[in-house]
Amino acid sequence: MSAKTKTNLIVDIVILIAFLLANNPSLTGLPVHEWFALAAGTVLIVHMLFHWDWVVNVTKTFFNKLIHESRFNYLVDALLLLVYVLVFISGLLISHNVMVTLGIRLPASPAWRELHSLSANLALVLTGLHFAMHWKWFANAMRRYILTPMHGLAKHPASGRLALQPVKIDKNKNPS
Amino acid sequence: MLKIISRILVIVLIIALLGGAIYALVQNTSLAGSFGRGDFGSRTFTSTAGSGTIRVQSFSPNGFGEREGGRFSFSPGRGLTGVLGNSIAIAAITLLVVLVRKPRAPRLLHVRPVSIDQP
Repeated sequence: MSAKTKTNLIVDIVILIAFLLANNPSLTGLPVHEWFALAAGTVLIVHMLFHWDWVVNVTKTFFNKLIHESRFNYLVDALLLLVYVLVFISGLLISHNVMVTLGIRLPASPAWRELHSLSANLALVLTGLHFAMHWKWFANAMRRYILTPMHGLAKHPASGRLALQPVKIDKNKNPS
Repeated sequence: MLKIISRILVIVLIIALLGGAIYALVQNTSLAGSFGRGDFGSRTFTSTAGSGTIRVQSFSPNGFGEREGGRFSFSPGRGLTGVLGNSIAIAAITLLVVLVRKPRAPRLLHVRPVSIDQP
């Protein structure tokens, strides 16, 4: 269970950093932005795969209870998926590197440029909301897997690295 | 392994369906006409000089952000400012949600001082 939590934490941190970088094309330049966002999209699929069971369970019990927090999370996540798809589709349609490299040319109206910008802003808000809804888990996992080990390492720098190992002492040999 | 591949296929299928639906919706509705007059699209400048009206339509030749000095040209300073701004926005949303969800202290317990003096 803890290994799974640790993996989830690493994937989530990677996604958050990737989102912040992809959301600011000026930082990387446009060609890198396009390829980087495409790669980040695959990490999002991994994120969805990790939470597959939760998605299936909430989908099954969505209408069973009138009020439960998972339902709100589910709605936020569904909206987030829709907005991310819009960001990707509009991004691909206005791209000048990815689609050209792939040799695909789709008729795209100028509307896609505006939609890309609009959906990216909406994605920021929804990502913030998604992150906030899981803040407790994130804070606990950070404390457990990153902050506490770092604190321990800072307090006892050698404790994590030194391990006692039995060695054979040959009494007949003179160390000098 | 087969289970994971089938799950990936389902996710990709959902994304493809959503993407196709969005594409069809935007391309075939009036949305295509209502957007695209902003920063990214073509612009029409109208100038009235003398008796005639001159209309000049400008296009960005290289498209989205590739114009020289465009909003999305490579600029680490502006990019880092953007990252900082986005981080602040996410932090603000998180703080707001955490404050809203913060459990209220139970008001069932009221401590009232009582006298324990023996009669």
